[in-house]
Amino acid sequence: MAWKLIRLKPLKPFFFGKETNFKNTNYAKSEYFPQQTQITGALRLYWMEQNGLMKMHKHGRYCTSDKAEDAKKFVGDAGAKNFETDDNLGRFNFISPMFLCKIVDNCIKDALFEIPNDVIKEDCIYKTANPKKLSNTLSSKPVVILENYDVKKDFVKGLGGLDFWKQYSRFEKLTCPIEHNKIFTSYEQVGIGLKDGKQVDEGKFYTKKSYMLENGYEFGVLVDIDENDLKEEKKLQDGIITLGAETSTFSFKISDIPSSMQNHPLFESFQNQTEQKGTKLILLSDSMLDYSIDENAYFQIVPYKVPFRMMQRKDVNEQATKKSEEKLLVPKGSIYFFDEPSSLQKAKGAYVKMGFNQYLVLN
Amino acid sequence: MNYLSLTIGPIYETMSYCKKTRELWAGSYFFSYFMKSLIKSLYEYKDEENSDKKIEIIIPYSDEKVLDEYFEVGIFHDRFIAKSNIEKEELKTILEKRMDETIYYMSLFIGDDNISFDIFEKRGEIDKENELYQSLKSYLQYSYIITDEDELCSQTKKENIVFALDAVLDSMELESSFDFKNSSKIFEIKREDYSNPPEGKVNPVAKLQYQAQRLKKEIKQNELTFKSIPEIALASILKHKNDYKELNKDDDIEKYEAFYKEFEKDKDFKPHHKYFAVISADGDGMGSAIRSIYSENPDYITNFSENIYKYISENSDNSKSLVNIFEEYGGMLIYAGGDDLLGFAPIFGKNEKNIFALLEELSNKFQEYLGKKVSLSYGVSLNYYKSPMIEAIKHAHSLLYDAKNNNTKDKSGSLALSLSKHSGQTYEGVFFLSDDRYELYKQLFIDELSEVIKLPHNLQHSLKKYETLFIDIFSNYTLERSKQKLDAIFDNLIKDESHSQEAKTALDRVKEYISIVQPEDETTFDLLLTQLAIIKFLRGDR
Repeated sequence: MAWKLIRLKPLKPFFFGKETNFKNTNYAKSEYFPQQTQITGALRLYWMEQNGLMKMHKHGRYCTSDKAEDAKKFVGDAGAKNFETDDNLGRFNFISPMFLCKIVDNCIKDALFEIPNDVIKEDCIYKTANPKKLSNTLSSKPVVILENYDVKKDFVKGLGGLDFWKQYSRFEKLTCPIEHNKIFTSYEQVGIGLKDGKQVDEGKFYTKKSYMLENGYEFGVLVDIDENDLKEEKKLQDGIITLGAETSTFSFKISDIPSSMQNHPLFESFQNQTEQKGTKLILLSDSMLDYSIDENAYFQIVPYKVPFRMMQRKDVNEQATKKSEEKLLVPKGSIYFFDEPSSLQKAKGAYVKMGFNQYLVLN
Repeated sequence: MNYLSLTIGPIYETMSYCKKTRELWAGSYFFSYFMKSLIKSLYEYKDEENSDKKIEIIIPYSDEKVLDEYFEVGIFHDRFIAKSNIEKEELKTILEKRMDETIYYMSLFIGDDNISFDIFEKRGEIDKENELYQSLKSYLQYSYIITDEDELCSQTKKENIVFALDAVLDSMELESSFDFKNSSKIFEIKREDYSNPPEGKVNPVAKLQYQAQRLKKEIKQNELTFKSIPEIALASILKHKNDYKELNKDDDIEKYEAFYKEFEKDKDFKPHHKYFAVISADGDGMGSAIRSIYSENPDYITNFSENIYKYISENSDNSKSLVNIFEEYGGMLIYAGGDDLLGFAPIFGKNEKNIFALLEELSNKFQEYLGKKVSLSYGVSLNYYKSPMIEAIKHAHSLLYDAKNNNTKDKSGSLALSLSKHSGQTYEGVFFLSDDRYELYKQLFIDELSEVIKLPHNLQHSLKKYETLFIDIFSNYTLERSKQKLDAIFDNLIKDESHSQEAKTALDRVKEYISIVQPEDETTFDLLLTQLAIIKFLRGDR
């Protein structure tokens, strides 16, 4: 097993989709980051293609039966239909949520993650809003006020690097987060819809908002992969990968984690998959919870829910057209506060290896 | 004396499912009616053993007439504040019981089309195992607090109970709860019930959103019309109901293209008829107003609430309700709760009015009822008719935030205006409504789109070409000298080839506008060009 860092540089505007599709609206906006299932699928496909295990078909690429055993050894055979019960992702032991790498002279200088949902700006200082329990009040749950939180100003949104996360972990004053629009440049296109995917549908215009990254930034993913017994040519190599919708392509580079990033609090958190407990849990990825964690938490900042579904196919020769049952996920950036050190429920099956239910623990 | 405050949602999530104006109306009406029913049940609370025990609603204004009346739009805000001489634990029991009852009867109403709002008059044991009840309870997010005034103000360090309760509820609203055991999505919308229904199942509130006509009958507002986006955008030239009869039958977005193809043949059709405005407004100075009421006499807060209610709903010879103001203009009010409102409007409306006149009418009414020390600020997004509604609303709310940020301690009442092109590109401008700059811009906007004046096609290129000159003038010269230099630029460099009077007048106005904006850096100059771009784009330039 070895931890590696994968750099993904967009070669053209990229589009990371979500629940909304063009059938229901004539406007679609990319997300900043892909879902964990998209990253996982893209990496599995990429490794299989590198090893000549995929064949082209009118509905996409698939693995033939004579190569199935080899493919299973590389990437496992857990699929969208049984991710909850089957954790077999082959040589992939863990795939982290995606983040941004700041690149200087082709070296990674920083790793940026979206900041949690409790950062406020007060008198030009960035800090966290802290919950204060109120006494002699009644409600259906503990009554808490978030000190210094002003609903009209809302929380600060953006991305934080190594310094930010170290300060955050120590409850210190925070470095100014980087706004999304300083890194992600939007790129609007007007397209025309197609009837049955072939003929132009007159009047069926749509607007699509993709993104590009500013110079000096790339995407990053941490992976824990088992390549010990593999020949060099079989291991994950640099190349070109497709991730997301509309053939979003990226250059793919894999390397060891640079020493400068070894003590990044979030890298440490991903690499420590044992159960961690703390009085403040910050979600680093979207999380699947079977129970309402707020039964134990005295306060939580969960501003919305994320609907989640995957495309499924009956067999490899069919186009994926069926959607799985919708789940509601607790979004990354959400925060739970406890009186006693607590942990978060682990994701089930393959979802845990895909990087769901990742959290930072503070005390 | 104990205080009780409750907030309900999820408002934004509910709106995000909407693709039609009537769905938006129905979604916000649900929350307003729910809140009204709950408030009414608390207002009418009677202790059989002790008639002195009371629950008094402070905000919003509530009396028998208000609680019995049916309104055309949702006017009950997503939170209320009440006070009571009932002990805290008992008050909690009463609230939770009344909340469960309201959820239960609302779920029955939603689940069975034959049940009317009369069901809310019922009291008694409810069936907590009922699937509809569990589904609605699973969807709704609500938080409440019961407290003593001195305790809460002391712990929150807020100067009065209203501010303290608001601050606590703002925090509690962050706690989205998940009911993983009970799914809220149990209703399937069939094609016979609704054209172009969504795939899969929906939650109870979404089901009601597809039943706007049913809700309309229930609240005895049979004259109420739900205007589609093209109907709103074309208000100034839509003369007869037959003009949009086909659209009313089936107002899916796919039909809009064909509808517009026909209307483009009308001699009065202009490019701006393809755009509609979303208006999000919020009161300024309300905190100060509440502060001064509390320092004078806390009991006066009820009068203040009553004035807000009258501002929204009073309809007389001298004063139109907000619904009628929008209706007569050719727009549609979606909700008006407290000092917030959300509405859709054309850029030019009926009776030769324009969007700025609409905003002024709203502001004047607001101050008429609540005093000159408060004002309204606006986020107004101008959108192409095919724009997704939720994106347009989100943008208007974001612009309202910009408008509020423009306000200072001494000056308020701002407008943040933005145009979103079909491609998604946006142009924005922020103004104080009391400023000469706004007046000049407004007149330029109206006169250009009414074709009284005609801005040269190459205006932006010309201005951009001499950007450094403009910046130099306003950063290095006195006001008087800069005006002379500005005259010289326009006389010698910024020209229009048509030599028409409309073009000459237009250039004079632009010059006057520039002299007030005084762009002394690149950012201000770019903002100036953006503001002019809004006007030129709406007149048809590409």
